[in-house]
Amino acid sequence: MSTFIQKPVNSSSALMPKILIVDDDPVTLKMVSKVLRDAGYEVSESKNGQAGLTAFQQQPADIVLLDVMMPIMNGYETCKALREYSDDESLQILMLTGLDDVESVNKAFEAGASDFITKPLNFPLLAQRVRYAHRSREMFHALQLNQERLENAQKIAKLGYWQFNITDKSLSVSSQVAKILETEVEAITSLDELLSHIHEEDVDYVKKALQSAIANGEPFTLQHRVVFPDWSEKFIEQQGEIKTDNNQAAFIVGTIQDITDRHRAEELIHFQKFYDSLTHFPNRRMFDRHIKHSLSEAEINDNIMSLLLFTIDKSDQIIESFGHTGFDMVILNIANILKALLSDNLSVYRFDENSFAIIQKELASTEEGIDNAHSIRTHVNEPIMISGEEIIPTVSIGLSYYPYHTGSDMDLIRMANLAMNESRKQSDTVTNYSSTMTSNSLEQLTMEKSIREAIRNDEFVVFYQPQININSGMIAGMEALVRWEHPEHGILSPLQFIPIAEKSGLIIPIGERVFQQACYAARSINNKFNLNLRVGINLSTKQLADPNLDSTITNIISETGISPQLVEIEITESAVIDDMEKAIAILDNLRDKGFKIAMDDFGTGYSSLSMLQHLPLDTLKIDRAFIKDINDNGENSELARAIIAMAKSLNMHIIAEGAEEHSHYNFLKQQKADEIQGYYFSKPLSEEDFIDFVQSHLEKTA
Amino acid sequence: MTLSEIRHIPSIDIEAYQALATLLNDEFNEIVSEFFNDTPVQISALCEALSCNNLEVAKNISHQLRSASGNLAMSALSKAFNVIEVSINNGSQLNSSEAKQVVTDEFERAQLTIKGLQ
Repeated sequence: MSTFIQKPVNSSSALMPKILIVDDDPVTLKMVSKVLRDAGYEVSESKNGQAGLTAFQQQPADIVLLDVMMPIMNGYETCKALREYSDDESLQILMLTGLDDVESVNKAFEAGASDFITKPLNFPLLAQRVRYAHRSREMFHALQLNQERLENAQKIAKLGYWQFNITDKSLSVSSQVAKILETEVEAITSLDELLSHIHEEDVDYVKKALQSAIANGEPFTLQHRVVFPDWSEKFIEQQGEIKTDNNQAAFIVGTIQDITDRHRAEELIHFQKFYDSLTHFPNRRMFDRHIKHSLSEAEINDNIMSLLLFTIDKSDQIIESFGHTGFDMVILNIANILKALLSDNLSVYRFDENSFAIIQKELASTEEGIDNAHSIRTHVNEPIMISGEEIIPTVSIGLSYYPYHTGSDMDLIRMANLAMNESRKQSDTVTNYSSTMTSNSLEQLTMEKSIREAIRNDEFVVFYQPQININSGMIAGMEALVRWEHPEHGILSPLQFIPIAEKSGLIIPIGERVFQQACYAARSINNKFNLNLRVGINLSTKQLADPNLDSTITNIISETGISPQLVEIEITESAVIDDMEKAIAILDNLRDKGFKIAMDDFGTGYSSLSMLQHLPLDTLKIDRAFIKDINDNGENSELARAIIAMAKSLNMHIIAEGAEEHSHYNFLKQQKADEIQGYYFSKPLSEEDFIDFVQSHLEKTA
Repeated sequence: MTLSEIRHIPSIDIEAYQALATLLNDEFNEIVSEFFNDTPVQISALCEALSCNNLEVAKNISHQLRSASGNLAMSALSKAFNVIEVSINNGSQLNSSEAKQVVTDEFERAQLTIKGLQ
């Protein structure tokens, strides 16, 4: 049979402490048992040391009361055996011994006793003595638990502590310090050994901070790196304070915490917040901080500084052709070019999706800024391969300067942006800011606001210019021309507001209003005079691209009751040049509904003969530029003559605009133009005046 | 203290005895009864050991009885066992006959005193 005795689970219980009494005197056993049971303890008894040890092995106790003199195994031997057997350091062993037996008391402590109780026993106090022993055990447990918790917390927090004796220069460190520094506790016995782990670039900073803390007696917090033999690094945070003795700094007590994970997370967060993930250049948020700082520096040092903004031309087309991945390749290519330019005085930022910003400090002159801009433009113009195709990126660059343009960061950005936008109009150019850009820009904003108000206030009105049949002299039609009855400035010409209305998209509500008014007017005039006058109405590029165009026009025709055959829609060359196929589809649709289509201002744009052949056109309107210089001798008429001949060859109806002189009339009649329009017959008239004109004209020709 | 001086000590520490009686209630009387029943045999064994000069046995018995009687507030009896134990420990001269007599007398005195108290 095995003599192995399995250790029972420790039975410690705060509710019912277990007490083992070992005494060979049955009287003492009984009396002690009785007293302690009555005090609420769970008591077991043994009559000698060997029996007591066996009983403990079977059922561990929290407290053992042990007589000294016993047969078989005396109290010392039993105490020693219990200590050897039990790994419970909080086990309380109280030796029962005589007052006159000092030697046995010493021997008892040597054997591992926790305390002793003298005989004869003071029974009324016995329970109290045992209660103290139990409290001592509980305190030990609590301390042990706190120690474990502290160690666990330090382990989890990767926190170690150290103490440096300033007087004798000794250092003690916790095991966690050694673990963080990947060494042994025994290897860190001096401050120099502790400092030897610190990154060489951080050592001086740490030493100075410690010296300052000692000198001033102030607490400190430090962050630094430690480096390991394989050159790996950890980020450490140290906190500490100075303990004094007689007002003299005596100790430094500090903690060491491994904050590598936190530091890296913070670095990542910082990067995501302030840097562009594609190019790794600082982003707009960082730019906003740096521009302020750079301006302050330039101001203090009385330097020239420039802000260069550039955008990648035709970025939409690049994305459409090569996708965002292809566009990213273009961006990266440009970023690599810009990286080569980086210096203490030149910093690059990813300003937005399509743009970069460059701050140039300490410029010798504005020319240096311009030279750099041209250099960037030239480098970017180098061909690159994307998806097997070669493309040559171009950029539009705008520049603004401190102190020449402004001292405000916001204005510097706005001005560089205006200059960049100016460059974009031509693309692949470099433009310095000029004050006219700001005034133009402000004018545009003011104008946009006014146009919106004018639409709300119904200030746009339609004037009509007659179109005269050159053979019969009769009125054949009229062109509807928008005017703005400005409450302060009077009648404004389209040149003063149409470009901005086009740019802002406000041309769509204005155009709809004009179309409606013109149709109402034509219907009304035709009814009044029993005529079939045609009305020409301009459609802008934006209107032509408006997906609601078809329904808008259909509704107006239905609402006004005019026949579409009497409506001639006038388009310009620029309205169709960008997407001929789409334009043809739209015009075909309008023509199918009965509308006539006229090409307005012909000859001033990009039109070619082949384009005219493909477009579904009824009428060609020759621009005034070809008419105005024709004199009585027919000089300067070659281009007009060629255009009329070409139009006739395509069986197109011809209306010549800008006929202001009799010579113009004669020439156009000779060349067999169909109709003429211009001041020779009438300027554009209000609806009321146009009615008078028709009335008068009919009376003359009757 | 000598054996002859013991008879001048009160047999029972009455105050301690009464405190024990209060503390242990009925069980105390039972323990006292058992002590009186069992101890004569041990006193006989002690006397025999002293007669045979078996000092180790005599020391153990006197130690145990000192402890038991002391815990029961039997001051004189406990002191008698203590004198015997100390004498054996010290190796000093011990008059066996006197020791037997003193122990026997003090045991009887304790019995009589406690009877009076009960």
